[in-house]
Amino acid sequence: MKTNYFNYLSAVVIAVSLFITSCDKGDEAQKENETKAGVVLTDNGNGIGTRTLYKDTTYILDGFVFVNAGQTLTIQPGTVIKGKAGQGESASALIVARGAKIIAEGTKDEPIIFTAEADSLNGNIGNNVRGLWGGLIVLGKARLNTIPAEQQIEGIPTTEVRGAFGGDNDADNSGVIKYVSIRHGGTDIGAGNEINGLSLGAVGSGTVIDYVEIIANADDGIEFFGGTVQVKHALAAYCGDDSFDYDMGYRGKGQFWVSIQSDDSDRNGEHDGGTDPEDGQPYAIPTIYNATYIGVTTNKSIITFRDNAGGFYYNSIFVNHQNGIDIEKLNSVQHSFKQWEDGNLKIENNTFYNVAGQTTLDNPNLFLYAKGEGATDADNSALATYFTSKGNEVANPSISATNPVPANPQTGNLYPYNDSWFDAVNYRGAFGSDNWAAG
Amino acid sequence: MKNIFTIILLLISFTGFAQKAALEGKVIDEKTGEPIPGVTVFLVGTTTGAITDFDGNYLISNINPGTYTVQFSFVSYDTQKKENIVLKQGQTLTINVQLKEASVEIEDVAVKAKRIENTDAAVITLQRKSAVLANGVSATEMAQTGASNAAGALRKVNGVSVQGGKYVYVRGLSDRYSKTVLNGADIPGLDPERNTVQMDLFPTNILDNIMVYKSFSPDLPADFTGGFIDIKTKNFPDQFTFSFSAKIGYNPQANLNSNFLSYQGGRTDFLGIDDGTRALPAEASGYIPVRYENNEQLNQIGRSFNKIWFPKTQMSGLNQKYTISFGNRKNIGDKVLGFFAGASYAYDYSFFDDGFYGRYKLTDKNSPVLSREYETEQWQLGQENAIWSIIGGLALKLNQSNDISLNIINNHSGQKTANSSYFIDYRDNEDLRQRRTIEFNSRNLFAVQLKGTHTNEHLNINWIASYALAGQTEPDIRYLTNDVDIRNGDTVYFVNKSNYAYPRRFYRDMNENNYFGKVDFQMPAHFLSEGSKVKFGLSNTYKYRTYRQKQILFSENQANLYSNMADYFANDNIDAVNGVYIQASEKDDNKNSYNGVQNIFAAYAMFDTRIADKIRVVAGARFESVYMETTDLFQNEIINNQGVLNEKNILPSVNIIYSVTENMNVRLAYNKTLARPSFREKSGMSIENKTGDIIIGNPELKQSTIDNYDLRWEKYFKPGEIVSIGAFYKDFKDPIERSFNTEAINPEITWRNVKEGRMYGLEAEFAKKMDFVSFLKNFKVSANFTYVYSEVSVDEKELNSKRYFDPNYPDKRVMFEQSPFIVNGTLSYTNLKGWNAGISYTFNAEKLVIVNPTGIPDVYSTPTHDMYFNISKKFANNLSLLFEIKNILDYRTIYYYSYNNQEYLYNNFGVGRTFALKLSYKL
Repeated sequence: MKTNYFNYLSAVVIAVSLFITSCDKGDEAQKENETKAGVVLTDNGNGIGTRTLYKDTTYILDGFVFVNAGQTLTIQPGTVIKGKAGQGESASALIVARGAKIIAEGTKDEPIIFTAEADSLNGNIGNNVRGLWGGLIVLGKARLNTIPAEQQIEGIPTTEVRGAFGGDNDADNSGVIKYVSIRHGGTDIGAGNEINGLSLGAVGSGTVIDYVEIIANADDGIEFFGGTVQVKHALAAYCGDDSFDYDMGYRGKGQFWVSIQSDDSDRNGEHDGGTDPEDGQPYAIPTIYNATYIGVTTNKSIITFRDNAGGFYYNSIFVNHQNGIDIEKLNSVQHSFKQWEDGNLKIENNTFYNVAGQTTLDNPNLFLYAKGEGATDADNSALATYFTSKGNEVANPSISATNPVPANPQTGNLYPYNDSWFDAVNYRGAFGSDNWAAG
Repeated sequence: MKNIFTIILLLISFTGFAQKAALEGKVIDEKTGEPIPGVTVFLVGTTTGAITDFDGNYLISNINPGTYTVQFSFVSYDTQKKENIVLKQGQTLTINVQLKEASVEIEDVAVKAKRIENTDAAVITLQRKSAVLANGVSATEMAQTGASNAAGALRKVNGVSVQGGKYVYVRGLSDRYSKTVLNGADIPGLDPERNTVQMDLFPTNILDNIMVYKSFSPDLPADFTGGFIDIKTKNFPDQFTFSFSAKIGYNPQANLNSNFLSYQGGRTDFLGIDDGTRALPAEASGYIPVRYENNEQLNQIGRSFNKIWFPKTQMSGLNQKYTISFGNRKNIGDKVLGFFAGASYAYDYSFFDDGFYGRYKLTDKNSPVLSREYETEQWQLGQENAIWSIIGGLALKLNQSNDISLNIINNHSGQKTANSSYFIDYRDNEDLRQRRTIEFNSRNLFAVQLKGTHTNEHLNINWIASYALAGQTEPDIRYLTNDVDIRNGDTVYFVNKSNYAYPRRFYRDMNENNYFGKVDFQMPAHFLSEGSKVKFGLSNTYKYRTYRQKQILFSENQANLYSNMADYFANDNIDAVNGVYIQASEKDDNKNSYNGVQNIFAAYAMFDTRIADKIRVVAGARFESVYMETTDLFQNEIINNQGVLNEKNILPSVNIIYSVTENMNVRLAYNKTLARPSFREKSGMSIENKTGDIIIGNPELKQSTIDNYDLRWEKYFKPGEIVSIGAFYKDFKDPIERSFNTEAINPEITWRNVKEGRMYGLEAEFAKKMDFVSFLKNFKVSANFTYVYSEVSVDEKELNSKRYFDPNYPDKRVMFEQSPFIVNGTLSYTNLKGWNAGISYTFNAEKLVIVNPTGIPDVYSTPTHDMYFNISKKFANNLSLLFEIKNILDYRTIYYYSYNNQEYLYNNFGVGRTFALKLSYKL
């Protein structure tokens, strides 16, 4: 039988988040919940310790709980971890510090769930409810492009040394996050900042992140603060801010990223190169294949590239957006438009549909355009020429938020997969005929 | 209020009108015929006396009939006695005298009556005889320059500038390096963000004089480097006095303006006190649940807050100010009882609607320009200030050698501010945002001081004990930012919280208790040389401060669109599931609340001697032991947020005065002083200001030590005339500078000790009557100039980030808020028919006002030109009418970034000219 949880979810979520609970696990978790009082996880400065969290127990995160350097937190498949409500200093979050490891390896049938304490996993909390607790934060030793090269993750006081991230090991390994669902998080942590669903600070390429979903986070779905982490199969749905956000020189890889927005979401992708300084090196040039970004026609834009961000998007699908992809051009020297001119920003072999109301390629600048104090008509005509000559098409893949699997698969004219990390699939977008998210 | 006036009137009628004799007259200079202000006129064998006013006139009333010897004395004039003066009941006798300039130096003039320090001549005399570098401003001068409070009065002191009408900068050094005391006793500052006392809290009608000491001597507290400011309240008078004044002011921008920006407050806002309108609702005073804990209760609490979030335009009134004071002395047997009481009340408005602010950023090191982040379309700000004070003083002269006095003072200020702006966020789709804030800040200082003087030929003892309580409350500060957009042809409003914080309310309270005691002993030290003195003493200051903050956020589950922002806060929109809900966190509030305690014990010894005929040496050392502790209330076992300062210092001081001639001194001084972090700086608390910057304390802060070197040449002429030229050098170790936590993702402003700093300065001062030109004989010119070169180490982390953009960025920069050039000038006119006029001008050169991290250039202020004019006429000896214009040049506050030879505006606003008319009555 289906769990109650699904009865309360809208059809929208059913389609995309089927993988998070299989038929019986919800009931089991509930039974455990009733028979076994939740175990409260707190941190007195010594971290959570090297330990395992078991699926027969419900855990309650109370406050900032760190996995300290040298410790390894293992989470069994099917485990439910709930964050206590509260904001600011009272916010609850699990923070994997620099030098620590998390082994959260769920399975397709038994995912690991992070949610709010109030969530009985029976649908008592609507899928639009956000900000009930913090989120999952992973900090690593990969490089940032900031000065100083070490930063303090937002929301953690600068005096708490375990909140530091950044280093010089791009191959750093923070562990495994697989089949993990993070829901209803993003509480306020002061000064108008919220915790992202999954914050990845300087996480290195040795870390494995695959099959992860963020549902109804008040801030971004996933935010990359620099680093080189590679993420496959990631879904961000109904988040208050952006679905995928990067900054501080992110240089990882991504494939099969899905973004589904609600009316008040910001952008599907907010891509910043650097903050302090904006032109810091290494530049932010991640490579993303097979994204499916489904917008709402009130959102700002599909993707904003700014503050000197670069990045590559290939073989992706973008539908239902008010605005296309904008690239910042300032009167300065180094900015995102310059990255495009230098070949560090590419939008190629993608399918667009119903972007700025366009169903044809007649106005390429409605799909890709330069923006900012320095943007000129010449820049836009250069972008228009580029856009139309690089395999981008306007076609209706026939997908929607409720069914992201194209009824009209986009299989032609693909950008080649030059790297063995990427699955060399023969379609655009995150889904072929198989809905892995519904799996 | 009515009752107070009744009491005052009763007291006047009791004390004022006995049938006694009086003595009056005029004292002039024998040679020049000029009136001499500040002359002590004194009935020998009694304690009755008076001091001549600016026109050389004096009046002693309430004299018991009899035969007297009247003595006229003044520094640098020969004392004159008129013997066998017979006064009959009801008679007023006139005695005019001419004083002759002294041919020899007069040691401490034998003034048995209380030394009077409230005329400029008297103040210059104090200055001349002072062991340390000092400048002062007298009550007469305050009256003459029309200054309504101590801040205004201090403006004309050499090397002093006043920031924001409140904070005193001496020699351009920020208020961190100055210290203000009241009648020699420590008082708390009221602004938790500052180290010092706000000068606008002291109306001039209760002041006798203000002295600014620029060099340390062991009998002064060691924690000042720029200036030590001693505010002296009125002493008990020589005769019955009564004064009343009423003033109205008009600023075309602010007053009688129907577009004035204010907001709905309480019924006692006119007193600067909240009547409870802004109190935290009772529903919210207990535990506030989190969402899904008890949604019904959470909604109820959310609905219990008032819906006043928006400034509104309303007609403003005129500025007004009233003062009243009276005093008298009474003989009780052989003892003399004097008293003084005063009160003042003022309410004024300030407003602009054409303000601008913008923010820019350097995005890459090769960029020729700064990139615009956001700019206002329209910025308006309305501010209303209520300031009142009550002072009472009682003094008992037990006999010739023993005095005891009691002072009680209560000063209050209330500031109501409404702020509204639209700005375009160029970083984010050129979104149009709207920011509105309403604030109320109520500050109160209460102080009781008991002091005594006991003198005989072997020993002079001065002691003071005081208690002061300072409080600041900021109830219900409201910050609201929202977006404005057009959707499908309709204007919609919403909170775009990924770009700024949710609407918030803050409740802040600060209290500081201050206990101070001091005793000074002075005795002749003939063993050193004739006329030598030794002085030693002890003092102790204990302070205890509490600071509490509560924050309530009005969060929203998702960003809904509203046709009117008021709908955001409407009761039916307060819904913990889908709508707006409040968030509060006790832990956060505790983190942003702190307690601070500080004890400073001091002991000193010094001597004052002549090592040669013309060389006076005042030297000694002071020992100070400080214990300071700050703790925030957030009991976090992981992070140590406790700041402790535990230091003992011995501070040497040498002041040498070489009297080249009777009227010419050369001074040389070396002193070591300290600068300590404030409670707020040393606490770990973080606070978010209205523009969203986070300001966080640093519990690790140390105290700074400063070596000070001073050289000054000064020449005195006739009373009130002086020329001086000086140079100084200051060497700072571990100075505290504003800096950044460069690791913080969202900018955090903090304070750090940097390695070192240095200051070189030159200053000059002159005051001269223009009587050498006959048609200008009623004019007097005075001016002073201060030039300062400063440099301070840049914090290492800050330097690293600066050098990314500019590899040549120097490792030193000018000190924060240090003005390199200050000029004060006054031209005054006085004639014997009761006319007075003056025009004064203050210039402050540009200074560093905001230090920015990384590639954002620092922000400087443009020079300020502040000009003031007044003219007054006395009628029938009792009445006078004054007209004044403030800010004649209508200067604006302009801050800017400068990059690649181009300037970018940071802000620009001006409060306009103010015209005022004042009527005073003085008995």
